[in-house]
Amino acid sequence: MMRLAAALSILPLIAIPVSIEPISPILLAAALSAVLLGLGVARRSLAWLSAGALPATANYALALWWSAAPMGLGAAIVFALSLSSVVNLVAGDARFGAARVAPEARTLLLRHWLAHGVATTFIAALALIVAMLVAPGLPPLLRPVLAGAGALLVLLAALPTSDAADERD
Amino acid sequence: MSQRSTPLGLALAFLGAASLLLAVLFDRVELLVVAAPLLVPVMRAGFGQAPVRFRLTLSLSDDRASEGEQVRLSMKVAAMTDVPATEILHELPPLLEPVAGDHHAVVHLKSGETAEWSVDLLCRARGEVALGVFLIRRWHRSGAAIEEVLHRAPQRLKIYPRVVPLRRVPRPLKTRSSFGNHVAPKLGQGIEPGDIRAFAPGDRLRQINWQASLRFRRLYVTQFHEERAADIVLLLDTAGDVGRRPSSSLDISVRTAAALATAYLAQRDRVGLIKYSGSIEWIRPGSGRRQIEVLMEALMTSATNASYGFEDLDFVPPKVLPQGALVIAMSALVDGRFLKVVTELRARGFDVVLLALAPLSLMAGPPGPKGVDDLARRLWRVERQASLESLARRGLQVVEIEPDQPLDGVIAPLLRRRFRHGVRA
Repeated sequence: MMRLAAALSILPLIAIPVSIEPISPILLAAALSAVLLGLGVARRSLAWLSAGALPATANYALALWWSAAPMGLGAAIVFALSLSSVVNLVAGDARFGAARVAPEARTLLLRHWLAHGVATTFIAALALIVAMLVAPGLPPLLRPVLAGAGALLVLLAALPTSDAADERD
Repeated sequence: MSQRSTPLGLALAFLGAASLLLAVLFDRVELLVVAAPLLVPVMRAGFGQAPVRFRLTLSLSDDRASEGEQVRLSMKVAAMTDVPATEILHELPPLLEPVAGDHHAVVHLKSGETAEWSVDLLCRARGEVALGVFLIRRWHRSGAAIEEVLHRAPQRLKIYPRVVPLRRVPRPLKTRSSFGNHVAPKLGQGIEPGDIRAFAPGDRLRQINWQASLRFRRLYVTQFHEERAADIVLLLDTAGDVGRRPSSSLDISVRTAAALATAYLAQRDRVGLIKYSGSIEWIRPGSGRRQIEVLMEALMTSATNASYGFEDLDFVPPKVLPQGALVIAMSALVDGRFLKVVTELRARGFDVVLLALAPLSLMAGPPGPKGVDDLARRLWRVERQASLESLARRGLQVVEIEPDQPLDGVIAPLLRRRFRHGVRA
């Protein structure tokens, strides 16, 4: 099930760059990344998966640059969610493959990965939109300061609240 | 508890950093959105989680088993605080093979809850194994880091060698003075008829052989052979081992020794053990149930001992190696010192039987050209055959054992040969 979901998550990583700029270099890179990502999913290997995800991301960047398209946050969100999901699902599949996993544990971790991934992606997108709306009206000196403050805010939001060691009997 | 990054954490960091770099290189903000869900879990993983407290217990269905038997290992976790997704792996020694159930579980418990699981383990080979070593791994919710700790709840499992029942065992040529099951050459009290002689005053009436008395018209009595116990010394070669466990030459020798010891002890003989590896370990001959326990313990822990020394069996006290004892030696004959030892025992007048395990079929072919391999094997076979014939010429009874051969089949030619030998004597 997890492997099937991971395999489905590959599709947007291949399709989005091709749909932005369907030219032969993009098609070739998409084919290469599809093969590597497929191998990563089939072999539950994060190394193969990373080797496939890197050309897929580069391909997406190349397609955006080549087409000189206006900013499209919708496609970026789908791409980000797919990439995050495929990596997390393959890692989860490899981690729980040989173990007796309590259903609650599986649900908890999957829910956490998905919810966290979606929230982070949307917050990042929202922050970008706000930054682009606000930036033109600001004095040029204030812009980097605000960008730094925004980044700091995101970092602080990402930090957990407690930190302690485990105790066992 | 140690914390480290997981492969997932490394993959996320790598892809996140690559996305950021691409965003800068291509001047596209979309790639910042791609980088965010990859990098934030990595940053979160740098911090610990709330403390958890639980009790982990281990129970074993039996702390003693024989090779080929199964034992059940049950594990129980009782949570004293909330225990979010925690992976518990019980490390299994190579002598044990899981056949059903799990020794690796991920639990998720609320305070006061318990979780239990078990694994059925097949005891592949003899030995004493330590159980109860747990690797507890607590995953950070992001999955990018783990905290690990090794927990020990020690339990020991003794796996004894498998004992194959034997219908008959080689008969010792000499017996002791105590009663047993072997027919001794000496005439006296017993049930095995030996000879007849003329009636003498003091003979019991029930000993009169009426058929002979009527035929010769004079009273004759039947004499019987005494039934005596014997001393058996099992000599185990622990200097070398060929093949892989649980079917190595030493494993097969140990199983043979266990079967022989059990069979002889059932006949009320005294059985002792000498393990020879250049140095000597021994167990004095004894009888009864306690001796079975002692021998099985010693056989269970038998292992090769890398030693370049050479101790002669002359140093072994006569109580351990009694005169007239039947010495049954078991070896793959890969160490020349053992050959020397059995030859010397025979020269000292001991009745020596050598069960020589054929090591070639236990060996995986070495890497290299096939022709060279075949030639080496043929040479080895020829050398081995020559040394076996040399031992036989010196009066040892030698039987070559193939690893898959049933033990009763191994013993059979030895029984015939010893019987003929007895008739000739």
